[in-house]
Amino acid sequence: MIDNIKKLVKDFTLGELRGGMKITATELVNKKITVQYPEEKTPISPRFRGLHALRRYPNGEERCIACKLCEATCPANAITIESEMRDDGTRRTTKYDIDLFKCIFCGFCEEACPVDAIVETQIFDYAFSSRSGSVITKERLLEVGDKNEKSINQTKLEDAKYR
Amino acid sequence: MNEVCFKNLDKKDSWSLAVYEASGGYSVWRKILRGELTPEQIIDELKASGLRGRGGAGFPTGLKWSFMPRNSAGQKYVVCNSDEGEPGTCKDRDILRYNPHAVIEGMAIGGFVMNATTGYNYIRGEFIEPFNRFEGALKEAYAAGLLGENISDSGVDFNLYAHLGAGAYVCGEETALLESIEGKKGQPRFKPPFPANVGLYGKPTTINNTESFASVADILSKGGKWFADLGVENSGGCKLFSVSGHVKNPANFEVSMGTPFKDLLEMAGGMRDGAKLKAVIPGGSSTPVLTADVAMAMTMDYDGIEKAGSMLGAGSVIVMDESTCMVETLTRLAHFYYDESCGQCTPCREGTGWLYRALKRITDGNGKDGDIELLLNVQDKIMGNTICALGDAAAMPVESFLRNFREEFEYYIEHGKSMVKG
Amino acid sequence: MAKIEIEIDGKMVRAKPGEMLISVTDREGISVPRFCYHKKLSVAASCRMCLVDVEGAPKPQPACSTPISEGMKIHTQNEKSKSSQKAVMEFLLINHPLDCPICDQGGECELQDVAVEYGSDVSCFSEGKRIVADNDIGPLIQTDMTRCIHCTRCVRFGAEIAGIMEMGGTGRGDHLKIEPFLTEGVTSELSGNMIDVCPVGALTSKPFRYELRSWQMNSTSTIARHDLVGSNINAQTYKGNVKRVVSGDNDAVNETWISDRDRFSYEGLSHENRLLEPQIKIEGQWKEVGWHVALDYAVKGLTSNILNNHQSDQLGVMASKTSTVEEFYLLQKIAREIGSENIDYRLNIKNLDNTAKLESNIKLGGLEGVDHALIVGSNPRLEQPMINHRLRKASLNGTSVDVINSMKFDFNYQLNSENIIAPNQIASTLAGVLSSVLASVSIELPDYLQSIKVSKESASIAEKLNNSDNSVIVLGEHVVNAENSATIVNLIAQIAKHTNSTTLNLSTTANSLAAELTGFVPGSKGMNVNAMLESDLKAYILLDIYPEYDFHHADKAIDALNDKDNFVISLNGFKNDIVSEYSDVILPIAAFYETSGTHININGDMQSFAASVVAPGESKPAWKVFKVLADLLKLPGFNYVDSTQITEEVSHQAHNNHLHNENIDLSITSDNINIIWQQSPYSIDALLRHSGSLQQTKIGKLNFAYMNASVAKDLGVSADSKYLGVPVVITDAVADRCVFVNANKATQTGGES
Repeated sequence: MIDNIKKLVKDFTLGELRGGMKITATELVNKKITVQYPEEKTPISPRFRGLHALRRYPNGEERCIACKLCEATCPANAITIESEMRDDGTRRTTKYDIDLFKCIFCGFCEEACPVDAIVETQIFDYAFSSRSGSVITKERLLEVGDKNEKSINQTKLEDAKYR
Repeated sequence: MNEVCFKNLDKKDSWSLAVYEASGGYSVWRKILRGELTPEQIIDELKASGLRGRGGAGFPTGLKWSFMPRNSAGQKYVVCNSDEGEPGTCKDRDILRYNPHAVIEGMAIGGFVMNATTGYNYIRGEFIEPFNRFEGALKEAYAAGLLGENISDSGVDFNLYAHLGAGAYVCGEETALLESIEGKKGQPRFKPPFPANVGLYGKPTTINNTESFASVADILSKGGKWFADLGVENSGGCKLFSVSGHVKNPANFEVSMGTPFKDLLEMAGGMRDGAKLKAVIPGGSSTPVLTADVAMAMTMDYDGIEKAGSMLGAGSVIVMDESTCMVETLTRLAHFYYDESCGQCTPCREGTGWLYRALKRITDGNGKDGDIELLLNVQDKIMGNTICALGDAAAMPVESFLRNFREEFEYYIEHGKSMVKG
Repeated sequence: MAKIEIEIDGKMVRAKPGEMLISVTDREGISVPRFCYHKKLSVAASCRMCLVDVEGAPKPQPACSTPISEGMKIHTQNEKSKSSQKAVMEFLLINHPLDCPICDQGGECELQDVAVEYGSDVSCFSEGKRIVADNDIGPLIQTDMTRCIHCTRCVRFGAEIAGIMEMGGTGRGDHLKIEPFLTEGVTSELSGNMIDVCPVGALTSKPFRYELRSWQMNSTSTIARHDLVGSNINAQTYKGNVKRVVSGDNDAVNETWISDRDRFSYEGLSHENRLLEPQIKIEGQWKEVGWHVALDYAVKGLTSNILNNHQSDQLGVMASKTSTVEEFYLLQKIAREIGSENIDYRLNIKNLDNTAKLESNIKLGGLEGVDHALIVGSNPRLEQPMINHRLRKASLNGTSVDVINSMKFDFNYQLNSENIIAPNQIASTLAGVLSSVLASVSIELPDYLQSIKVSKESASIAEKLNNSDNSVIVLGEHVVNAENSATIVNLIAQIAKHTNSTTLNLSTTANSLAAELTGFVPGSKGMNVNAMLESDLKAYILLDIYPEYDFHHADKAIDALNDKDNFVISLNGFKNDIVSEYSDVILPIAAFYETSGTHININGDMQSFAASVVAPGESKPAWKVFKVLADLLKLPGFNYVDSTQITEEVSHQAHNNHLHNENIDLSITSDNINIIWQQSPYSIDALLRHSGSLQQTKIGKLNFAYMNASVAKDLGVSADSKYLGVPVVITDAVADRCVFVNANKATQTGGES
């Protein structure tokens, strides 16, 4: 009974409408929090796990030594590696594929890597134009690494003190 | 002084058969050849004499000989260990140089007691002169009809050969020595089986030190009691001590067991240049080091030295004066063991290298906090885990140096330079 | 022996007195870490990892060298044991490189496994690590000696099992290095086992280097088919390819060792020469076709050439010695169903009218128990490495070994006597032995022995056999083509009979016992190989045959098969120009590891195996091809679904025996120069010939015609020339009037003398 009377009063005094208008009015003058993606971007944690990359040493030599620990640790079986002895006698991959459809971005590969070769970058906005595009090859991974070496180095440095 | 092994030391050509025989040499051996002594009598006499192995371990010789399966079929061997490699020791060298026939007679007697018809004397590789002396003595003995087959129609056979080593400390370990005689790499064997059962060429073998063998003939001719009375309780006879280091007259001294260290130092002419005694290693580099006070109060016999916290070992007394940097001394010792480890078993191969490298780092001025604990930790891990005693020998000095002279190590680590030398 | 009781970790355990502690703990499932201990090698007690606390002993004792005694109390888990084990682990790791990520042993490394349990995660070692330079020790074993932990298993393996101490420890202390003594490296025929015994990544497989991790591969147990032993092996596969072979355990067969031949032959599987598609020849042109077309073509060929003309006896079938029981059985069944008994596998025998039978009636394990062995015409070390290993073990236990050979070989055990004589004199020597044996048991000499003079050597060989309670006579393959081979074999049988010796026949290798068992031999109306080649047959089915290697009369065989009027169906695993030349259909078949089947070894064990991988391309297991071929030919009784049904049927078949020459004729005493022609050990079958690494070894490169100077002069050859296409080596090791050829290449003139 009391509830019905309360509702009647609210309806006839336009209480809800005024409440709504009040929020509109305050937000009209408040500071804006939306960003204009893709022109603007929100900050990303150095621990963010995005697209993978293979890194190189400063002298241009690829870091990966085909130990296959990332392949072994990957819970989604997303990584496929084939290896051989390169002509100079070092152990190298001939194939390093990551299937991004399988990948769950857990970051175990990065944790397992003894030479910091495979890393997950902060890149998250990528797309494939074909189904097979989800398998990212060694060449592409190295390319991503080469292109983003500076930022990878930066984020790893930032995170290093917490590890 | 100089009553057993060195009794002919002052005579001209003391190493010749004539001099040896003039002082009663080979009388026991001839008695045996005449059939007047039984192995049991010899063993009893040796037991009564209290003679303990002079190579370092101090195992009673009579008991050792009685362990040999004398009546078992097949070849048996008697081996003399003249691979005197312990830093600070040079007594066997002088026995071989000045009294080789005593060793030959002792080994022949041993061969008779243990029914071993072949003997080998394994002589340290660097001992060219003693080796030649011993070979000369062997020739004399063979020529005099004291060795060979069916000697003097007694039915006793004994052939003796000298074998020159190639310069490895570890070959002083009895089983490594056997391997070396067999022509293999000098590496200790694991025990059991012990050489008394499976020794040279897989046959029962007894191995004794040169000094032990050299004492046997005199014990038998003059009686076990005479010998025992030369020394003190539990340490019968006299013993050769090689006194070296910062003394006026470093030399070998044959003195009665139980002689105070003070007197021994006196015999060696006291400290050089009137310096003050700092430390003494009483039994060769593998035995724990003692401080001056402890050493001066010590008597030179098995129990006396053990009471002082060290071991009689091979009787090599290394005397050090106040100018000695103990850190550098230990580094030098560690290098010796690092260099001489045979490499067979893990704790010794890796541990001696670790000790040496860590000490070298300290003496290079790069010591760091925790190094003393590290050294103690590493020596503790070597101790007792190795096949032979070389590992223990490398570990023991580290512990005693650190215990007695810790502040010197701390100073070296902190300041990067020696506390003594500045 | 009465058992005694000891206490391990509070548990009472019964064991034999004097047994080593570690074998008791292993049996009881108590884990004691170890590196230098290996159950088949002598005890070194040098790694010190197995130290355990024995009550009453002041120091911890190594379990591997502590014999147990009544009432012993052992603690493997207490503080004292653990601290010693941890100490040793730390010492082992200070100089061991932490390069597990690039180490091939990673994942199957004993050091890794033990370190997980006994190692510490932090090392207080901050000095420099030791680095050891590597030597190239051959094409099979990759070294990385910085990783070596000096357990000396490889050294002991060489000295004790391989019988040739090629690896050894040089230097001492920290500078101790395990390395080969010679720059030649490791050349033993058993060298690959060093890879298996090495607990760390110091010795790894060279052909397998950096390819895969152990956890990526599937392992299937199978049987090696290159010799008479049928060693148990594990084929490790990845994505349908055999990537590595390691030994399997079977005490009755190969214990835990395998020969290099068994270990590295898998490389041939991925050779570029593999046949991948069925092919038919139309108007002289080869065309790759599907199976249906090829098989139809084959059936049509058989039909038009023989079946339609009711000339079914014009079919000849031959198979390689390495075929499986099932393949032999099905092929002979097809031939017999069609109506032909021209069936044979003995392609390398010069004179098939002159064969004799010698049973093998001693087991491999039994060989270790003999007290005397007489080896005739064999170099067992290279021909049957695992049998030689048993003989060596026997020899080390005191067995005396006499040898009658035509060349001095490098035996890895002591010989009592070595008689080097040409094959045509072996018979007279053996006749002397027999004569001497019969005389000693007072049996009247048969006529053929009446005129025999017993030489000193014969008498001493006879005496040894007579005085032995348990002797064996081993016949090798060098006499099979001698003019009087039947006489030699029959003499051996006689000697064995009268001296109560067992016999071991190594004269035909691989799976030839299976051929005999399955009846893959000419029937009473059939022809043998040599007869077939001379009678212009109209059709052939050839299983895995490469004539220039397999036939004794290679030229004649190739000529006969090349006849325009005949129809030849070849089943091969590898491409071969000569096969292409004469065949009309070539069907690609599965090689070793790719087919299921059965091998029969010298023990008589029928060891069946499944396929480890699927055959590449269109190639199929031969037994399936035969089954379908038989169906297409509408032959009855080929309703098999899998190969075990065939095996079952074989075991129920009666033994099909063929005729042998049982005469002993000592009148053959020609003065011809004897030629012993033998494929070198790594060229005896197609797979081996295609395995690259084996071919680069010293044994793989064996390609020499050995003769002495006077024979060379008679033949007009010199040390830098070739004889029968094989480089000449002039040596006194060969008997006079004799040439010993070890060939690794095909030849047109093989064995023709």
